[in-house]
Amino acid sequence: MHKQLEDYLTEVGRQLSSLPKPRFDDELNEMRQHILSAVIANQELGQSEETAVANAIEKFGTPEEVVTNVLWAWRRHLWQVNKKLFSKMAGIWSLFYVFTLLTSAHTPSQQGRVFLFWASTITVFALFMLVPHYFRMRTQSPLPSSL
Amino acid sequence: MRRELVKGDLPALVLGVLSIRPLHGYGIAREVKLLSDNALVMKEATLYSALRALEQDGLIVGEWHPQEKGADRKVYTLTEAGANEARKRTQELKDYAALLRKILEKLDAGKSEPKGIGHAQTT
Repeated sequence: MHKQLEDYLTEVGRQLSSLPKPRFDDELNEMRQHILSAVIANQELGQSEETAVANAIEKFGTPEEVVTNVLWAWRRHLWQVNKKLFSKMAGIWSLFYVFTLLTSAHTPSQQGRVFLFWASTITVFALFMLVPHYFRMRTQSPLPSSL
Repeated sequence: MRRELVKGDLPALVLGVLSIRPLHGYGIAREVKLLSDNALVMKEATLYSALRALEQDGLIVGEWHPQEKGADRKVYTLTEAGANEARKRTQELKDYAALLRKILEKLDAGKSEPKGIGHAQTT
């Protein structure tokens, strides 16, 4: 019984190897507990050990389905963390922009002022637009179809 | 009749089940199955992504509890925000169910009295 379950969890674990260890351990332990509970319930219904394990694993989902769901939740978590971080950074970037505008206003040469103005505007614009877009693309994905 | 759980309904159901008592993941799946008389089908892996999302939103809290036999088990409990959200979402589901029933009744009434566009008009 344990071999079949361990093979299943090994395959799932292999596909989730990119997760941080505490999260990885949490997910695998919870899956193991869930499937073992289902196996016990199936055996109480009169199923053989092998059938009980196979049915419990089938009900839980294929490794691909499991991994899709786990990674969806992880990316959602990352997006929420990044969103909070971005809000804090936005304040700092705004101050940086004001500082460079003031600096450009006090620059002696006309060319220097124009250069500093456009450089700071484009930089801050890029930071505000591209960074969240990058994080959104990396961390948000459509809900798993089975959710 | 068995049908697959509609995307988006699962978090509301989980909150509803946890509003009765704290449960671990398998217990929640079993409770949903019992409440629906085995009519609702869900891949159990989807339950855990819903639980993670609810944890991240601060609506539930998961804690590992040691067991007398076997390894520790993670049990989920509603937070205060979760209890409020559970009430809100179950009410939304009830309203939605009532609306669907109303539409279906009107459709049934419409079938028994054919009229309107598509029917030949006599001159």
